[in-house]
Amino acid sequence: MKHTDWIVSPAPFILTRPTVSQMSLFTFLTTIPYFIMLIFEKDYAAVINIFVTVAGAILAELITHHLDYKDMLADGSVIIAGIVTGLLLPNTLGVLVCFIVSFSGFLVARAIFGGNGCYWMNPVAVSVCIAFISFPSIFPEVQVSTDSLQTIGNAFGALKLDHFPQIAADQSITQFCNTEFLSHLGIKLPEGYLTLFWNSPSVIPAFRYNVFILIASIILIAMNVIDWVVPLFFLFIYGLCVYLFSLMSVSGHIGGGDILFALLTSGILFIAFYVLPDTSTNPKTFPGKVFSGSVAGFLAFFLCGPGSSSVGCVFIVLISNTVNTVIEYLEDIWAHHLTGAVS
Amino acid sequence: MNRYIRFKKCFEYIPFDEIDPVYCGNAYLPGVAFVPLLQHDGLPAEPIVSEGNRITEGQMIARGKMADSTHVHAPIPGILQEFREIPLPDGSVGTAAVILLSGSFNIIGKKESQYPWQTMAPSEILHIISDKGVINTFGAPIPLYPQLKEALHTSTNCLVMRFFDDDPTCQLDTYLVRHGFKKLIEGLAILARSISATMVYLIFKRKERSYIPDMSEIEGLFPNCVISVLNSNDRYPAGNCKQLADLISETKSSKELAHAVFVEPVTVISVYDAVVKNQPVIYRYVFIGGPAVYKSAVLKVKIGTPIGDLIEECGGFRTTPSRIVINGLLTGTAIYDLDTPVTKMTKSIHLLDKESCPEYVVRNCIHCGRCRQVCPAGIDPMRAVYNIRHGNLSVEQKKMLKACQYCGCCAIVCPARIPLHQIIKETNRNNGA
Repeated sequence: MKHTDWIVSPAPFILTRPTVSQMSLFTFLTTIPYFIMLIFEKDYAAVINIFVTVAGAILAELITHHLDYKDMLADGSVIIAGIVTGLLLPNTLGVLVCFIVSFSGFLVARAIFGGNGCYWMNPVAVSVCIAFISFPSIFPEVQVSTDSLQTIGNAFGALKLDHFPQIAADQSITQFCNTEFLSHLGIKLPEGYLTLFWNSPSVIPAFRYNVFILIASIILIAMNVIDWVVPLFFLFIYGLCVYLFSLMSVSGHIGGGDILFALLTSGILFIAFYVLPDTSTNPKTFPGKVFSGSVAGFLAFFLCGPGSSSVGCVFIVLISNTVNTVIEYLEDIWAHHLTGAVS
Repeated sequence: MNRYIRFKKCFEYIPFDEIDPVYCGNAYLPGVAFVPLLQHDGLPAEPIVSEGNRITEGQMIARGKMADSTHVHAPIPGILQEFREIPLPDGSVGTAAVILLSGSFNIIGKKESQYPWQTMAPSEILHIISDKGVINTFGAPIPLYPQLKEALHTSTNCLVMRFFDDDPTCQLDTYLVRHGFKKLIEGLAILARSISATMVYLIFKRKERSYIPDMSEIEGLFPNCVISVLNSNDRYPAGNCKQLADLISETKSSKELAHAVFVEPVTVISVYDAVVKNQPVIYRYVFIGGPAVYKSAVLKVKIGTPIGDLIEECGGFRTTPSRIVINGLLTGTAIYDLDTPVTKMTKSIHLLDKESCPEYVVRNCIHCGRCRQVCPAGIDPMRAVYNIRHGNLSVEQKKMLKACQYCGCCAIVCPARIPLHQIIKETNRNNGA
């Protein structure tokens, strides 16, 4: 064969999706604002935790990589998963604990199954669950007390009653928005939501910067890095359940629940866009994804309630992963039926 | 012009920079022509001339002896220098006759004859098609004569003509429909006569439908046939055998299609030239385009012309190309040598730069399931390739893989860049499918 500068590769020569490495890179770029904000807020413990969890994840991957040679590290997915794990752990958790939970979680859930694309349990969720089961006191308690909720009648009001620290500019910006824009539409934004959007108070970094998650979700979906079906149905069903049933225990009526509050606390958005769309654990067909996202959203309401949960949503991921194995089994039977008919 | 091709089975689009091709006439004659003895799937023809022989334009230089080989003719007059191993446009290596240009022309520049095909017997037409080395480039290129002969011996003779490109990025078939419709219809009428067809299906995309002249004109060319004009959708894939058969089956019985002959514009033009002009297959229309070449064009190219010569004729490289692709960006083949010749199966040449087609590395499957969502045959390519790699393919699964249409949809959406359809194709080939 002649020497040539041209690439000889099989068809096709038009590709609609970014490569696996590009997907990891884009996801990494969307996490950079978190690092900037953490450093800006001098939360160095959280930054160190992230580095440590990445190291734990890589070590777990490397051990398996050494035992069974595979090109595991090259796509960068383990680094992203390590960062996401670090963001989901409280900054008060010690460095050694972070390393151990990350290492053990990734070894058990990801590496021994063969790395990216081969596991069925989300390693991020497994790591965080190990940390929660081992040190439940480190994780934040549910912020809205039942007494406050019964007194005020809505979750956000109850949170504000329980000494909710608003950011300094919240009042002035909310007032400006209400008078200049929202008043024309007949809407009034209560004070405090801006804080929930910009910097929701929590020891878990992933629960804080909801505005970055929303921007990241648009970027990741637009660039075909994550699939939109599971997150969308998860959020839709969860939001619907919150709206319909969250005040039933307080007022006995259906409807009137605070969806925005539920979505902006307890890391629902972060889980929806960074953990749930994991391709390895999700069903493969559109109906399968719709069902999976809906089941996860429904279960999330029963475990997390109307918001401000400590870690509940991570357990939803694991339950959802288990349900997904059944969905995938049914998908295979359906595909077999279809292809049998074709051939 | 940016165009978006929608997948048949998914709400996803393939972005594609469509070029409006301009016909630039005959390409320059090659000083040296490399004429492969195998220009289709099957067996090579056997040479009937020796090195050093003087040969004339259109002279048969190799004879196809089996059913799956066709005759090969000299595209230019000259001296047969040698038989040499050369790279072919399908990515393989094969023997080619190297002809040095010299002497006078028998076909180029001469008055074209017009043989009255309407009075010819079907067997006579078939004989001419065989003699002139016509191949069918609908799908995998194969000799046309054995196909027609088989169709002639069935009770329901059905002919299906696709008036658009199977791979929309190829653009040549669509160009030929827009600029030579009458010739195509006459070529199709010759084919219909050759197999005494009773049913003829003309399948168009909506845009090309406007090129149909008065139906009474067409019907006059097909005296004993029922003609059906059908619309195909603008999705991908839409032009392969299975998709067209599905389209026809919506209105007609699928039994009629069991021995149907499927053809497309390039094949029909060859039939027209062979029967009406008495010319063997010695040229092809070729579309050349892409971001790495100065000028996009459709050229009438002598078979055996090195692809490098055509690129030079189009102004050369605009930028350093990353890939040179033959026969479409979705299903084509990347070549590595500018001496690769144009053959009977060459339709288009795309020169891609690093921006439009960057280098990539094949990674492990991330289990995203996109391939399964877009597969028009309902196969799970991800699972199939996993089983192929691990040697776990059951008899039942092997049977399922035969439904693959080799459209490449699975590979187009694969973020791990695994050539899924190529692996399935190779497996089917090894299993004798």
